[in-house]
Amino acid sequence: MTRLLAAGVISMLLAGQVLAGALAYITNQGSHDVSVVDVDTARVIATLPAGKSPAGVWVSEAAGKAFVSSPDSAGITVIDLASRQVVGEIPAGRSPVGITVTPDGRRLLVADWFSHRVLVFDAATHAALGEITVGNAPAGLVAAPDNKTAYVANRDDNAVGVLDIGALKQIGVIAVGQHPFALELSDDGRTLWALNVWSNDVSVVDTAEARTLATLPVGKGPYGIAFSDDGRRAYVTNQQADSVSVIDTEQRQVIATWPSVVYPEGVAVTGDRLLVVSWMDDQVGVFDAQTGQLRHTVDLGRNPRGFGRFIHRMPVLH
Amino acid sequence: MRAVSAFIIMLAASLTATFAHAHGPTRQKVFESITIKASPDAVWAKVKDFTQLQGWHPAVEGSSATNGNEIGSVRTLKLKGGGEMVETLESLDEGAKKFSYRARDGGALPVSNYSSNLTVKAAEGGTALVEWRGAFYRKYMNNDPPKGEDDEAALSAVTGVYKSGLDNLKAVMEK
Repeated sequence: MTRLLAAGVISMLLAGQVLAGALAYITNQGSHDVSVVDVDTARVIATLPAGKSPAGVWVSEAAGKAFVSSPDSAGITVIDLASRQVVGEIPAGRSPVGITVTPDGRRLLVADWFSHRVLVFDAATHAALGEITVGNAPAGLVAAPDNKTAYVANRDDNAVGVLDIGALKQIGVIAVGQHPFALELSDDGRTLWALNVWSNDVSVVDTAEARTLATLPVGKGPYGIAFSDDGRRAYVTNQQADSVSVIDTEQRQVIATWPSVVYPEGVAVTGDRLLVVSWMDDQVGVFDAQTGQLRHTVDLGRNPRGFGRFIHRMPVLH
Repeated sequence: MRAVSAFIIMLAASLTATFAHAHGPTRQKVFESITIKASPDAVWAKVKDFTQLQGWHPAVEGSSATNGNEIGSVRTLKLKGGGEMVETLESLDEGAKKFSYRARDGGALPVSNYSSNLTVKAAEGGTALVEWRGAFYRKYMNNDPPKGEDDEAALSAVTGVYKSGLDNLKAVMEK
């Protein structure tokens, strides 16, 4: 008994030491689970079940949870970031894919791909609060720093819908390129980035003026986007070109195109590391975010996607 | 009146169902692996020769390649019982013991836009783990595919190719 207890304490201490950096929660659509990767040690520390065919993910440090969308089981899996355990399942429409949480951690928004609506939930209680009728084939979602506005990629309309979360209404439409899927927003909420899968470019949208400022050609099939911690670079995965386009966000220019993993999908940056999920090779590549050099790979479950923000930055332990 | 609204509801339901499938084919993937009681170096030496698939795959009768094992070399596989596959070597990484290739079209397989890679890894006790992956769409790229050109046919054909190939590779290497 004492020995067991001691072993437990030791493993807790070890876990505490190991987990001072960043964790990645990556959805594996083919094995119906989430790999939790310790980025510093390049190890999978947990594999959590997550409905059927999990695709979208959003880690909200404000809510203390990661939310995972599973289109084939029409639900959201809730993971507690402190215990790294599944703590809930939320029924969510017919085929939820895109997912986001408001920056204050209070509202969870889910795009219901086939029913042309965005579902709104209380992120704390998981209660359904209502739904917003949007455009056709809603995909990527992101919420603004005001916690009242959100944007959805209405893929088959070639447009982004502007949503009033409180009023449960789509209040505006901004035309972008062909078949926008993923979205990201600058930290200040002033520029929205839409990845256009068919036109192979990125629309940079001024959110105040609701117009496109620039259209940047990238590689074939842009799928995922992440900003560097200082916001000066954006990294876009080109799913059909096995590459990553590096964008200077101030100049609004592609400054490099790096060879990457096979079928790159989800992407994230933490510090000097760039993580790129390989759907084909069932792994995540960890690259130097400055040079694009591959440092190592970590094996995941089957057919990983990581569509959304999947990094949890752990608080520094004392 | 009630009949009319029931009809409208049915119509709406069928329209929704149609919409759900109006997105065309989805990308498919096959993953197969096998553990072989031979050194990873020996297995790699066997599989990396782009011109010699007939040396271990039971479905391949013979092949010719435009430029041997160089990147960009195009091999034409003659299959037993007829049919061909034309494939281009896209990458070969000696360090990672991995190569990748892409088919010009589906050829003898009921697939479209087919690419593949094969990796040899070190496994326990000095054995080799061979992983073979393929990504593709079904042959029929519009909605409502005929039988034999649907997702199921594509998945089953590629799975069959990988399984029979890996089983025979194991037999050849463990002889």
